[in-house]
Amino acid sequence: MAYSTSDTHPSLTPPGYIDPKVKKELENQPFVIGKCPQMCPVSEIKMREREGLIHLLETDPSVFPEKRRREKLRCDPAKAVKCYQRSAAGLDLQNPNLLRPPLVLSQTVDYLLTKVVYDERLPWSERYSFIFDRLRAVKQDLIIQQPNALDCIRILEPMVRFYVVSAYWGTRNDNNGKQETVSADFSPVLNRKQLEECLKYLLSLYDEVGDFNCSSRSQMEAVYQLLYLGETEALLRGIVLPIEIMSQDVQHALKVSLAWYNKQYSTVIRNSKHLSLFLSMAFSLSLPRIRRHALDVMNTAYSSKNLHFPLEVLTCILNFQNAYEARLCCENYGVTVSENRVCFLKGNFAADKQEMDFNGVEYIDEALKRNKLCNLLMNNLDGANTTNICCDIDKLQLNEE
Amino acid sequence: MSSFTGYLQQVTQAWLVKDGQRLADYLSLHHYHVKMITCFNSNTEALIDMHVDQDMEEMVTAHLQCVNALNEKEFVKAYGYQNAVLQALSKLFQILKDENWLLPVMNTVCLDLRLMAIKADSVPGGGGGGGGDAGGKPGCLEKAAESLMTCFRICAADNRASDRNTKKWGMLPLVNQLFKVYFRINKLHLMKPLIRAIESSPLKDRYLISQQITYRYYVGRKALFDSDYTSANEYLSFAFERCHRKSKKNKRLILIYLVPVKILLGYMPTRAVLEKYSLLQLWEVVEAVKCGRVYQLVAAMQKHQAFFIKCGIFLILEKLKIITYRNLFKKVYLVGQTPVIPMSHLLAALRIMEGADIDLEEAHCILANLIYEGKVKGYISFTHQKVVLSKTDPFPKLSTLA
Repeated sequence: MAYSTSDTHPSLTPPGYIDPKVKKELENQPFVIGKCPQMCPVSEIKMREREGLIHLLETDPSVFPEKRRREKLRCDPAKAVKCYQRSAAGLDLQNPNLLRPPLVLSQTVDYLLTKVVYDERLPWSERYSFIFDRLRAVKQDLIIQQPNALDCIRILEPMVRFYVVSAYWGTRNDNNGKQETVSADFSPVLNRKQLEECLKYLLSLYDEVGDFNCSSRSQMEAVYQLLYLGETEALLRGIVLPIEIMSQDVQHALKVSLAWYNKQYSTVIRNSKHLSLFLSMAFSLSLPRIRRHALDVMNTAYSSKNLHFPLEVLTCILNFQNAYEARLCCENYGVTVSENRVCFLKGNFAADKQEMDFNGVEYIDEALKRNKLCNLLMNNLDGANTTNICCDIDKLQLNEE
Repeated sequence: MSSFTGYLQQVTQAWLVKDGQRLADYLSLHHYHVKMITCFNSNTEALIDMHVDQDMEEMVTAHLQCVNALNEKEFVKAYGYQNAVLQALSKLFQILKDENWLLPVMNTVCLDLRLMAIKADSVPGGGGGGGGDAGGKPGCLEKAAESLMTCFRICAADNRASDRNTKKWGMLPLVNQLFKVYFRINKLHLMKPLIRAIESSPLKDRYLISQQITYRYYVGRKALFDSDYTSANEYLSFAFERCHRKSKKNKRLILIYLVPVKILLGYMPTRAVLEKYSLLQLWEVVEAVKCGRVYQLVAAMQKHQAFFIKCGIFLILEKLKIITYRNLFKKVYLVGQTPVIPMSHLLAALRIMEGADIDLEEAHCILANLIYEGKVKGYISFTHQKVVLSKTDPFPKLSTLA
């Protein structure tokens, strides 16, 4: 037959399009089921010990950071976690002996987010990049095996929380203005990408299981609204959510998102204060964007050569930590501030300026001090299921050196 | 059985004289022959073998199997056979260089494939993920989209034939089929490359007017989804104006989207128009926006929420709040007839028209946004808590803004 389906116009292939032939093959092939009983396959441990690729966080607690550079580390087999590896030629990702079944994956996530987060031998930034890499491997194992939806959901939910919390802490400066070491290891873009991928995967799983009510679904739906604040696609999903998912959290998140859809910054910020601690963190990621737009609007609406706008009021409206932060933000966009008075003047707004670095929100920081990180990540907000380890090490300070 | 033989002979006849339209009828699932053919067996195959041109055997066999499955209400199976019809047709179609007389057949088969897929997806437990974007098994409709895409590529790649004989005439009808699928499975982002292909085609304005209207209706809706109101207005207006006056149902569908866009751009529809197309749900919205009654807008949106959400215009109605505020503030201005208005007056008006829990900060924010968007001309003095309006035309006509 003289025809072939491959001589197609390249630009006409929609994104995400899979060649029907390949797709057919994929569909007919049953998914692999992992057999690796540990968080890290034995062969990988051996290889990494040989090559000196053991991470300090995978060693016995008696090993200290100083040792790291001098000699090859030996790992504690109970602490080794499978690394992320990009798919490449010659690498068999489908090998069942190297894949962890859902139960082991779930334990791995649990281990990373309740124990490794507290390992004080290394600063948060290094713990973060370790966990980030290992969670990526977890997601990869999940995608290859495609276990049943409920297993996936259980594994993905804490991961989403980890990315949200990390995004909140990620790039901030110390109060002293001293740059934290985080910047080297933390990439807001990569973190956001993982967050979005996990979250979208989760949402599709929720749709698949349908009516089955998963404990954290409404929290995750609310996170989705807040991450995609005011975006049509998210809102269209939000307004038709089934009634049992419409918790207080989701309702507030929807209200905030709808208000931002119409750019009512004042209402956005006012309603955002009703969000739960975890959701406030997700919301706060949009704060720089909201403030920027609000300042742009106000700079036009209150524009005058003689009149001023009180800095104190601005601080309050846009939920800045203090007048100093508000002032920095104004000046970043070319709006002048003199003696606690903001001088808005049309045309002065530097629209091409980068958004301000984000320094956290005071009331969220305060609330964080009263919460245990692992409880936040595993969503045990009542503390009822606290593992004893977490009780012991509660000296958590995410930004300690 | 003689009528069955007759049918087969007619098919062959149509094929030999290259009568695309007649062949299309004989391969349609909506033609009267469908009801006459009741069973498919080895005898049938022998008859096909005897009466039908060899090139067409595969296609006709699949068609008859599809008809059979359809009569037995086996919709998932029927979908599979219909897909086989299209595969066979694509092969024939592609071999015929410089000929496009099979286009009517392709249009009919593609239309039936889409309708069959919808039916198959509605069968519980059959056909896969029910057509949703559930990330699990794709539904029949998604698979159908792939088959349609294959046809589209054949048409789009036919560069050498003359204008008269080019398969490119098949592009727009296929694009419209695909749009219908994408709207149903909620994958609007897939429309973009298709829109680009049509917009850059020299045949763009020479397709059948009915196809052009369908195309613009969907592209208009997509623009609305992307909050591009000016283009939405352009596409939907074309569709509405050129749509045949007797296609009242289609005109109504277009109006559902055109009315909110028009309001947003400053044109209010009359009650008579809405009544004519039984869209009085929107009249409540119009009245609320006109008079600046925010509470009435909210109430109308709640009352008809299911309808508005189903049509996908709920969010754009939310946008109308901004216009409603503008109209309310204009009324406050007209009462006082002075360019300097205390913020407390605006706040009082908002509290009457929206709710008592609105605070001064929000009143400021609403007004600031209106000024920023150019819908109100003037500036706010925070110190005096007053807004100073421009002496000339403080509330410019919305239709002059966009």
